[in-house]
Amino acid sequence: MLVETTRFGALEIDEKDIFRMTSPLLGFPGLERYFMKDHGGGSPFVWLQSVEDAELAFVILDPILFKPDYEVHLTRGDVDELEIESEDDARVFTLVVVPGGDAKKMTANLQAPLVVNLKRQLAKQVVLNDPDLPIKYPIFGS
Amino acid sequence: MLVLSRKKNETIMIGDDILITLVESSNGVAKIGIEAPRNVKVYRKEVYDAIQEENRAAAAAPGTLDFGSMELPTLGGDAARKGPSLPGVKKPGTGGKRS
Repeated sequence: MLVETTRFGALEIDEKDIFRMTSPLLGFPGLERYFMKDHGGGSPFVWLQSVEDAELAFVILDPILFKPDYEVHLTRGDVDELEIESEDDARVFTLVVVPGGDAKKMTANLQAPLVVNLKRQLAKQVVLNDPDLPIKYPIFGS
Repeated sequence: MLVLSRKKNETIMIGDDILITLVESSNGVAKIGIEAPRNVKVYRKEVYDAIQEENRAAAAAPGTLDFGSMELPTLGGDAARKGPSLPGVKKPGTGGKRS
């Protein structure tokens, strides 16, 4: 199917590559369908692009690349909602903010990662109950 | 806003399935216990608001970002992907039971 995006133009994607958010991203109610697109150029950055809103896309990044000791503990509620049956089905991404378009200053939200069930193509933003986890973790150090 | 007064250990019900109990209150801090079905999300509001705002900031990233020249502190092309830890979920190939 053809998906319009403001950053990347019209993209041809497979229905099976579309993720459904079991709960919408906080601040973006009513938007459930997204797909992932590699930024490319050998970089590990991934774009989470809304299928329903051409303008809406997020940069996401696997936290193992900048904080290998970061651990995400899911509640039973999260596991049920994401229909996760095995740890291998699940992947964690963090949403990245690029302040003022300056990639060197980018921060990752460790308090509310995006947890994805690859097997079922489901995802949600999980708010972890740990007040010590920063919402703006500087990826390249402070 | 509905405002109800509770003494220690008294409970409020929201709907049929949500219970809010005043566990303790001292020095201007109330410890509030919440029992709710698994599918009902419970947040500290300031955390919810902060995350909402952070998401909105994240949505502003332009598509023309130059990541190519960025060196990430621990670039793991071969790094083992670490998934989240799940409560009582059995790993494939083992005969664990769900807790």
